[in-house]
Amino acid sequence: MKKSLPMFLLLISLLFVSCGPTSQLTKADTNTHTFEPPINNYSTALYKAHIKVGKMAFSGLFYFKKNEKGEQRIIYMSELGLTFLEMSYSDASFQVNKYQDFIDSKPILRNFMSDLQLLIDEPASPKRIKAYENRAGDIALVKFRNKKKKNFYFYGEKNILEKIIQKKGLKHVEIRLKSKKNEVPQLIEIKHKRIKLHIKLKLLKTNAG
Amino acid sequence: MQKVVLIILLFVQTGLSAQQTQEFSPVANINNVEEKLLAQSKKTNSIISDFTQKKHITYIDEIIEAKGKFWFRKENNLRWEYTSPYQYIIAIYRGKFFIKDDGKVSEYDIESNKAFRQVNNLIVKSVRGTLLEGNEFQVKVYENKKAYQVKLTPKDSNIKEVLNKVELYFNKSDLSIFKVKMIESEQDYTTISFHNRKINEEVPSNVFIIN
Repeated sequence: MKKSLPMFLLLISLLFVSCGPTSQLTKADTNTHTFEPPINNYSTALYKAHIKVGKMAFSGLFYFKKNEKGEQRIIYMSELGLTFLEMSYSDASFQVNKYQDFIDSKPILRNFMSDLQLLIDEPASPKRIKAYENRAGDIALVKFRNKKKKNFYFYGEKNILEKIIQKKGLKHVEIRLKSKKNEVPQLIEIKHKRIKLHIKLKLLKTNAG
Repeated sequence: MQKVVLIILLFVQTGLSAQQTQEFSPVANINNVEEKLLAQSKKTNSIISDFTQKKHITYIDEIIEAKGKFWFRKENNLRWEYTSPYQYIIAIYRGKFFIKDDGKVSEYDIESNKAFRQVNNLIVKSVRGTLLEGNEFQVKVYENKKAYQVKLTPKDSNIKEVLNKVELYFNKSDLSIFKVKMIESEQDYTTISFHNRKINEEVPSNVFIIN
């Protein structure tokens, strides 16, 4: 018993330490906070893609290109170079220019577009913004609403965006990111909780904007 | 995805060399070219080659490049492998179709799926040199001093959904393919160029075993 008591206390203290950062968040000033989309400082970016829709699985490549006017083109293609889906994005809206029949589904396309919008554009008209900072004074979490959506942006060290959660009614999407400061993410994982749609993007190469 | 795999397997009977861009004119006797290709294919038991794939997206002024290597052994064993900038393998061996992606291997029985059966059929026709006489494509053949250009327009609606046209370029000197052009539209097409080709070298079975 004598031997096990210190061990027990140690475990308890470790548990409290591990819970520390999240329990120590305090409200922060929201006026200075700016939202930058995860895929931002680039002119081109090529990702290897794995997509699961229901029981079906697709692979391929996602290619992002931003022109001087800020218009972005997104192409989902096979490894062999054939285009499955091609879209352009400007002024906060998508135009689908081409798609193959296997993604000829409005719910899939709609979810593709809303997920990609979270990656390539800053949130439109964020309202009721609440920010929380950690003990070091860095912003760790920003909550806001826009267009009836609840948004949660989680930041890690060096104020790098690590996770986005967006909820609207029954819709719930979570995007996890692995990035370095001011670079496009190395890894992007998009998971929908109410529908069976899972997208994983691994960066192959990029050119800075 | 299966349609795309099907298209690429049109090109298993490949070869290459550096090439020619002179203008092409229609060939007077298509049967003559077909006979030459048939005779050449009978002499080919295996092929090993590197390839460079370039997707041309002219409306955004971009070319996306990938490189890889492929192995072919009669009758219908194939390994088509991308090595840069991504790793991805398609293989056919002993009636099975394999895809290796992100370290995971997926295996399919060719007979279980119409698309895979079509792929297998195309391989056999490619090997036998009878691809041009089939009903799958409308075939037109052109030539210049150094090369034949074979334009294949798919009749199959499944293939047509993906590809508008395929162009194959053969060296006249050794009847090897040096370039394939897969045309989705005038502004969106992919070329595959072959280099470092080795014909009739021994290709061991373990090349086609994907794990």
